[in-house]
Amino acid sequence: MKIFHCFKRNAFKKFYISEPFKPVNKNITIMYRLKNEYIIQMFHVFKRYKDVDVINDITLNVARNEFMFISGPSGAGKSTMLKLMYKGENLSKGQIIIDNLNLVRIVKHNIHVLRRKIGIVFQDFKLIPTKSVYDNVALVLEAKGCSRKSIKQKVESVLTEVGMDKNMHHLPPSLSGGEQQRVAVARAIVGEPKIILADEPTGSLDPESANIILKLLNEFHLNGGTVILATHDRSIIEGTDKRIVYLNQGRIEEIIN
Amino acid sequence: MKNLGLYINGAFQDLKSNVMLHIISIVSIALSLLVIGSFGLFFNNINHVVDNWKKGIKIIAYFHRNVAEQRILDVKTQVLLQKGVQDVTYVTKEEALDYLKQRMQRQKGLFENLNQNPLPASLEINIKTSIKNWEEIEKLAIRVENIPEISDVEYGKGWLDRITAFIGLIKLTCSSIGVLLLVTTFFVISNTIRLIFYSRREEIEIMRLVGATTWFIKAPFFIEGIIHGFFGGIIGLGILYALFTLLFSQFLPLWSLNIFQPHFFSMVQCSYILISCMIIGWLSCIVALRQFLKV
Repeated sequence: MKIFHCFKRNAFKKFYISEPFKPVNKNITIMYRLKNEYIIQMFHVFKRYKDVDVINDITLNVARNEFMFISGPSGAGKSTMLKLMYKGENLSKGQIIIDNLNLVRIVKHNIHVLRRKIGIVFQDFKLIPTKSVYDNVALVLEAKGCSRKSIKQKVESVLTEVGMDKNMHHLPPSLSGGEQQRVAVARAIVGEPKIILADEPTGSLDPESANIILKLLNEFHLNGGTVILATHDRSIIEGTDKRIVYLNQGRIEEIIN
Repeated sequence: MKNLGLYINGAFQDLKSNVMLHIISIVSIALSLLVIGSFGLFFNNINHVVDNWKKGIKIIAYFHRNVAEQRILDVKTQVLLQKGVQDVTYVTKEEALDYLKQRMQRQKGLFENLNQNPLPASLEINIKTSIKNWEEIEKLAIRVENIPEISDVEYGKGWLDRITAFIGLIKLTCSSIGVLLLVTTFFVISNTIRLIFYSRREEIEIMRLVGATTWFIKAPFFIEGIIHGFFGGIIGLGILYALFTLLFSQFLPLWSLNIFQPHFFSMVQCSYILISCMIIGWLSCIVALRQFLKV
């Protein structure tokens, strides 16, 4: 068992860009800090569908514990950028490093290593309609191999956090859009990921529900998590003190700090 | 392994939600087993019959006319020591004639004019039941024939050879049909699993997004395949047994002639059949999922 464990660790080494090391001089200290400061690093990333560059030479770093908005008109490449981050799509050119994982080197059957670092919230919730709210949230922990007892404890606590504890035995189709999105947020945070990628999470919600979702994501951020939220809704980003990256035709048009 | 309960639970939940698809898969296994099992049962019983016939096989070795009594007894001992010989009976010329007279009582007159006994002395060699191979019987017959005192050897080679060849031909035909059926069943289950997988593709996509491993996704399907095999096997064997009992109860008078006693598969054979069905179910799943979860 021990041998297998070692083997596993070595197997994963290949797509980790670096092992933690002790810096020996000042320059290396700065480099190491920089490396560790950013949880997401994108270097000259391209995504091409047929002859169209949907993502065109994007270089971007996202710091640990940052809340960042990605905005831009429809078709600007917001969703594609998030997909590249959780490896829903393979990039055509460039490099993406997420929490020291080099996405180019991750093969499909090891993708769960990356996905367990990331919680994803979609506009269309992506909840399993035949499973109860509880089961939908518990799925993340079951996939991780947690014990039943800890699953019960964590799921109930997270559902209470998002205010869905009373509906935990309901099926998603019987819930409103706002409630379904709260369940989706619960599912995203229950595995204690480092990053949440939210793709238009408020796109199909009324303003009140949208506020609740933003509040929940902000709470995750305040607890030390990194959030990247893609939206085309200007009302969400107006007056925010957080970084906003504007995309247009696959390129970064403007970054507002 | 620690998620085994979870996988089994997931498999049974899926069985409940896609009842019709699972029934199709189980029924196809049961029907294929019914046909293949019938062939197997037929050959099992035919082998019993042939074995019974072989038990009755004797080699009769005829002596030359002028062999002395003492020499005959020496040859008898020599034959008895041969490999595969159960026992040897010496039939004198007189005993052979008496036997012939008994058999041909209506034609008694034929024997009245005989000046001397025309029949040779012979040895009736009974073969051990452990010998099932024709070649061994043939080799033994040749060894006996090569003894100088023996003039001729007789054993029912011709007709038994023809029957064995005929059974071999039927076996080959049935085996080919069996293999074809097996392949068909394999694809039916494979496609059923594929359909189930397709109907759950959104759920599987979500599982992947939340960090499920490929094994976590595949395991319930494997269990479903094994369950298909198990229930298909049980149903197939059940129907086969019912038909077997019905058939032989209908034709009981025929079998009461003591030609042979019909046998169903033994418990060990039934277990092997069941395990094979489960393996087929499992393998079909592997083939079905390879296409969807290619890495």
